[in-house]
Amino acid sequence: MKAPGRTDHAALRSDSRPNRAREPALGAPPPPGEVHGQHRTQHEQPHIGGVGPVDPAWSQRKGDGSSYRIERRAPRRRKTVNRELDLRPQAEICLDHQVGSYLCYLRLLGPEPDQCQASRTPFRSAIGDRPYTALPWQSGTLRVGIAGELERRPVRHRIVLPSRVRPNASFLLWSVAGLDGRNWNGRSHAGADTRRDEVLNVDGCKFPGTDPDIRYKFIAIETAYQTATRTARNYWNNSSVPGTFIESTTSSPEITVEDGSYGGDYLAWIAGGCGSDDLWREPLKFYWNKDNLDGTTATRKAITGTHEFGHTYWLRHAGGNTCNTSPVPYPYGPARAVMNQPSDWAYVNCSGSPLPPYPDDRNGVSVIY
Amino acid sequence: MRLLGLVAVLTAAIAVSVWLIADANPGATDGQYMLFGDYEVYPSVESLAAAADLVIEGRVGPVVLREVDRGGNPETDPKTGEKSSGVPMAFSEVTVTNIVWASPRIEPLVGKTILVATVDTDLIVADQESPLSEGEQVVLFLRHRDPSTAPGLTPDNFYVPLSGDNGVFDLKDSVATPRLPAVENLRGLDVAAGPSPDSSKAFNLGDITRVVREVAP
Repeated sequence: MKAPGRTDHAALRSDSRPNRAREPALGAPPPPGEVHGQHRTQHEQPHIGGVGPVDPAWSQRKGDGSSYRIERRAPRRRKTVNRELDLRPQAEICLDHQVGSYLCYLRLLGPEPDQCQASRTPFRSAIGDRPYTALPWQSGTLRVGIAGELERRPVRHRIVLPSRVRPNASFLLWSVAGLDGRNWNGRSHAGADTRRDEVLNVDGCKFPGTDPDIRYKFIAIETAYQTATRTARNYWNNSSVPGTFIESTTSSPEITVEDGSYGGDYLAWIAGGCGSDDLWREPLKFYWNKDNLDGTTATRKAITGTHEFGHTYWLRHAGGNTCNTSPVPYPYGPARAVMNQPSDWAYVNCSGSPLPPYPDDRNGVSVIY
Repeated sequence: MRLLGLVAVLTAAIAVSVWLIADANPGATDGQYMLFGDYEVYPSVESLAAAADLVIEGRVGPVVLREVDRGGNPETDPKTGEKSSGVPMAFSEVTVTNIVWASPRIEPLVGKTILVATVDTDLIVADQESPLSEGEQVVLFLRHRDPSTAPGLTPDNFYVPLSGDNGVFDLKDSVATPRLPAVENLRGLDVAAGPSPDSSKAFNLGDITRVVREVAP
């Protein structure tokens, strides 16, 4: 996919690319019923809620250190509930981080035939403080949204589904993994624990391919924000990560970019829809909020744009502002990142700070693609 | 109120339909629409107070209006003919039960209801923008909006929480819990400062009131 006009900046991009050798097929599930052995830690006490015992026919699998998937023999239909069957699971999802200093709960109700419902009210423990939002069931697909930052620490996720199911009922709920607070959605730091296939789409999606051309198109946008967009594009294109942002007038861009004085109190937003294949349904929408950015410098605007383009890559907020540029190994300390908030913190606070994206940001993109 | 409710329902239905038709590209997206952003970060009660136009205790009422915010842009760019999109917003009524602090330009509000806009999370999943649900007791650090600052939305006077969830505290038994974990101190302006001696996951309402009234502009 080469867009017209890419020559305006293609030369800015380094030819030296990180080693993007494909990782092992992370998404391949085990045979139905197989249990992957995993040592429990002291922080992994089973959490049972809801009604009735867990159907013994269900297998409980802990894939790779971060997640459980609970399933019964079922066709591999990711994130899909077989609504033809009379399933009435009531579940609690429990997330805690490595050191277990907080727990958060979410109670899910349903699905019932033709009517699935998830509680929108966070279910919190006495020491819990993170809101977890259950999203409506849509077309039989369960989405679980996590509102707010999860800080920088890894988050473990357990699902226990005490359910009343008919014999031979089929139910498959893929657990959320990779909610580790890093900005590397879908894939994780080397040696860590995320399986991309187990990441629900709440954190966004990616572009197809391993080195996509990402065409953006301006719609109703002032010169200052065009400039900021182009500067942000150059920051990424010069950073030797997969993907190339390309300004285009195509009728089918990957991203549309516009500015306005929006009511929400944000600097800029990316909005888009995810498919079940974890790919963006295009075009993504990039909104510059003039009401909050008009008084800022061109560099600040460009850094905000770099942050937003990072979201389009499928980077999430990193958490933890520091001048340390070296990503720390598991369980991940903070690192300098444009995906932190505020995105210009490192630029403002770190002496001799280079412009973004930083190693943590670049590593994230390389891992995802 | 009943008429207002009917209008709200109709408006919501139209807004939702228009937004979905215009932007969702039915058939192409089998997942949820999502929104991610870059926000200012207010890491303490002090920093929130310094930026707010209004700080209240309130009780969340129903969503009474839904609109798509195009930021003042026309639906179609007159230069390019391209269709502008927008962000779906929901306006909740919030009954003000106590004013912690108000900018002098804010009219007296105790006992009244105000409109507080958030991203319409029935339509779009937003990072750092959780919904205000009816019946919730909250402390809100709010920014005032009017047609000059939010020309894409029709209410003349409304409010938005500072940086989304950053400006929302859930209130129970005089203890307010910030929805954004980044708020961990009563005082301080540095987002990288980390926990201070007064840091907490939740704050006593009296402490919040004291700090807000000391530092609000």
